[in-house]
Amino acid sequence: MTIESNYEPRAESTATGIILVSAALMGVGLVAVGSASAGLKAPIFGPGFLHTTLGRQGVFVLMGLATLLATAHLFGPRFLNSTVWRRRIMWILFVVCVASLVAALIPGIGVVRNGARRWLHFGPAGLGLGFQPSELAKLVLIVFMAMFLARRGEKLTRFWTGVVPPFLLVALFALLVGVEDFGTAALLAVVGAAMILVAGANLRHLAILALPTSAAFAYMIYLRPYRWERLVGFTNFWDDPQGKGYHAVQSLIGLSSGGWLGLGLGGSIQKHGYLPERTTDFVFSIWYEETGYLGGVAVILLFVALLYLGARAALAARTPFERLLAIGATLMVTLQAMINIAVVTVSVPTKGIALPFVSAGGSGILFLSIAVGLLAGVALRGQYSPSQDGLECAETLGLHPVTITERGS
Amino acid sequence: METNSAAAWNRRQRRAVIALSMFIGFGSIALAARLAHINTGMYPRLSALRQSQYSGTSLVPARRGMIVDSCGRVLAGSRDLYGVFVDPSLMENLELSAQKLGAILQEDPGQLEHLIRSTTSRRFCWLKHRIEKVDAQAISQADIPGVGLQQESVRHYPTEQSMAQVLGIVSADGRGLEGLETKYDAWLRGQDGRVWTVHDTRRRPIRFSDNRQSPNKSARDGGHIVLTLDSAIQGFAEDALARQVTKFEAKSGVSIAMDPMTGDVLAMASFPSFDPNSYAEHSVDFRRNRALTDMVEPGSTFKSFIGSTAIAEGVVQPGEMIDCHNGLHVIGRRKLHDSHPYGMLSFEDVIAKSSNIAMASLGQKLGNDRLYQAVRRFGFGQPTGIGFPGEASGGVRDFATWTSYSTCSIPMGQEIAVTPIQLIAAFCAIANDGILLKPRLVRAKLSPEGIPVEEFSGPDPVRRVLPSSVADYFVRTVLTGVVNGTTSARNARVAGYQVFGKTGTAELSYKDRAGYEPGAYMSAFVGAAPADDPRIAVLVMIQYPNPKIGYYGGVVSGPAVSEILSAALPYLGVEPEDPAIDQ
Repeated sequence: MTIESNYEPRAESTATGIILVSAALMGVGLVAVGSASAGLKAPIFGPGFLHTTLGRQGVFVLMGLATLLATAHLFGPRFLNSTVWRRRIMWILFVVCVASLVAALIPGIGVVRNGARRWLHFGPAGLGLGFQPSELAKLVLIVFMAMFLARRGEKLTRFWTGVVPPFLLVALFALLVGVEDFGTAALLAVVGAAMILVAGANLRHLAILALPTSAAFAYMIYLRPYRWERLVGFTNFWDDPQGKGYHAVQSLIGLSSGGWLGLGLGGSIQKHGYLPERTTDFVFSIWYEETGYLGGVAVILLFVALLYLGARAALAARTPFERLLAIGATLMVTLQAMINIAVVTVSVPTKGIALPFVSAGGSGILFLSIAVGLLAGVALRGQYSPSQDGLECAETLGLHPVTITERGS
Repeated sequence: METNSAAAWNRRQRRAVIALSMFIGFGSIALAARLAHINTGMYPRLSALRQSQYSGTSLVPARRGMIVDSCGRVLAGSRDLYGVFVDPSLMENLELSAQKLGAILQEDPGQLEHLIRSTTSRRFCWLKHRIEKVDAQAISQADIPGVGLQQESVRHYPTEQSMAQVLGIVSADGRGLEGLETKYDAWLRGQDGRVWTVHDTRRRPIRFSDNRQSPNKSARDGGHIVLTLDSAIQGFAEDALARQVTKFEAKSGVSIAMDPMTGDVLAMASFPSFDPNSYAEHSVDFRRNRALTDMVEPGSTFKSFIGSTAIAEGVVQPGEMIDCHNGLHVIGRRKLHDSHPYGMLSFEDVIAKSSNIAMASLGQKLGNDRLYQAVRRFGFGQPTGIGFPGEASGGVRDFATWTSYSTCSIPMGQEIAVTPIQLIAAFCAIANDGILLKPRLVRAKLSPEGIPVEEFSGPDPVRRVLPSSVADYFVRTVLTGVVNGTTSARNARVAGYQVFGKTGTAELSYKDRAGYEPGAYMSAFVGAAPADDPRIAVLVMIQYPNPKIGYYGGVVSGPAVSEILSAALPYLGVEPEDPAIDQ
């Protein structure tokens, strides 16, 4: 990586590690999606390649890598430095995000895919471009929450004026997303709560707030009765392996046939029509079937590495905002990964949640790349010499000078 | 103070970060453990389900063997075609799929759609059978969900109507249903193989697999059979038969050509015929091999068998004069007629002019006992054993029921029913020095690679029916005299070759009740050539000719025999023996 030499080696290695791990996950995704989408005789390369699942994923991965690097090294530092600029962007994004979340719910604007109205389409219909506002919501939530929480500081020790406002912000996102996408709503709620906790809130206050949260989730379950069946009935997949248990059983069959070393790349049988959503939510099952326990654990270890590197960046972050941003992005990616693998292994109820960087899909990769790019940016700045642009940081430093002294000790 | 508080704050944040990270870290360890559990504890059940889900067997069809004629020309072969089926439960857009399929199969999409919708099975419905490989490839490339192809071996008969009844037919699933296809089904069919495969949800095989309980079995192709029939002679026999049947507006006819020295059947034709490639479109009656199943009274052709027996038994001498009572003779309560009135006729002329009255008196001299033995000896009343499913045994009444009536009827070919193959086989016994041979349709069985496994050559004698001298006298003098005489039998003459034979005309009884049907005749001629060294015998038997056009055996069938012989003899390489003999 050609980077200015004024970064500390430790910070630089953390950032490089984050980028490399993300790239590795995208590589795994490209292989897994390519294999999972390959039919019996579909030509893989040739005219129309860019319209195949693999071709599109290739473009998404290239876009993702470019976004990741650009965010870490170009836009990220500027974004992190300029508070004013940042605030304006985030308010615009907040409005756009909430508007698109609402729009996606309106019949006629929002597009139904796989039985849920989660999509907005744009551009010529032939290109099939569209994005899930919930993916944008994940990014906006962590950045906006980091900003919001960092400014609250020690007020967070109070309940009504401290914890409740950010809690309501999280609740707004979770509710808007949760109408159609229960899994992502849960993820947003957990990550939001975690960020409030890291920001310094009292665990007791959060526990109190868990009550109305539970009520809200109960209401969401009431909205879509199938969610209740999924929640309580996910372990009974053997009762109806051809019906309600089909996803679960097919996913488990794929995992079990993978064994320890896998059937070999391209060797999956489950991809031949047995496993639904084989390139998206259940791509891990295909990957595991082909590469076995070895490959599956390798993917888990990549996420653990991301977790470690992200936590390290968060610990080393200079400002509360950067720390919160770092832990938010880290948790968002790794928690989503764990939930996805837990779904694929039928350890938790089935939810429509993709495996970050690996599952096919453009908006997921794009917004994740921005989030992880910001994480890498924070990591790079961790031990950024304050003499370089100390004045620009003064505002933030003035509020919370703690990080520097802490690190010095 | 502020620094301390800030440091505490910082520690608090760091603790939360570490705690949350560890929480997710433990989560990932739990997931790794869960994966290991799936690989071990849950494995047996999942593995069994997996096997039942995508393991299946694919049939490796054996190729059905060919039927070829004596010269190796293919009479029945197999073509690799395809059948198209759908699994309606997997079809995504029925209307669009039907349109795509309709374009390839050249069928009406609406009808295809209706067919799929109205199928009783939720998972399987045949759309079309016997589509060509090109179309199958087009369907495969169209990659329509729920549509599958199955290779099917389809029996093909390049000669179409020719020999159809002899060859028989094969069912859609490859089993012989009629004719030689049934008789040699086990040999021709071979044994289908089976491989275990892993298939996708559309049941298309992805790859081969194995199964320890029942291993893969490779297909063993069927063997071939070589017939004694010669398609060239068959062609002569069919053409001549068809011409005469049409000319005389008859209902049906049979022609058989046989090698008298070996019993090999060289041609066997039934009219009307059918195309076995589309047998369902034809009446079942057309599919009957008349040469082996028609049972008729043989009429005067039978006089050669009783006449020769009378000579052999010594009840009459060659050249002996016999009283024909001027065409009308009363024996007991029975009045016998001859078609032409004769006074005294020599034995040879009795046969040539076919006097019923003279034959009746020969019958009386022989007596029922010897008549019955002769009938049985010549092979009547039992199948010839040619090896064909459903061969009729003819009708010889139980000896106990024979009366004095029979004594006069049998010698003129009444009160007895014979099949065409029995008739020509018995005739060949006379031509073959008095030895009855078992007629034969199959010359050899070949392995799938074409190597002879079993060969049937040389005569397969049943028994001697006549002393050699009597047979020789009959061929050279009596039956040659029939053809050379002035009766309608002269129609069977062939230029350059000495033909010998016997006409026969019989009334046909009602099909559903007793008694003869007025105007219904069987007109036959059985003959062979050349007289010095008979190489080919031919029987033509035509039923229900229009009596206004003609019904005498010599008139209706004689010309057909002549036509067949005059084409077949040069084809067989028989040199004309005497250029002076003319038609």
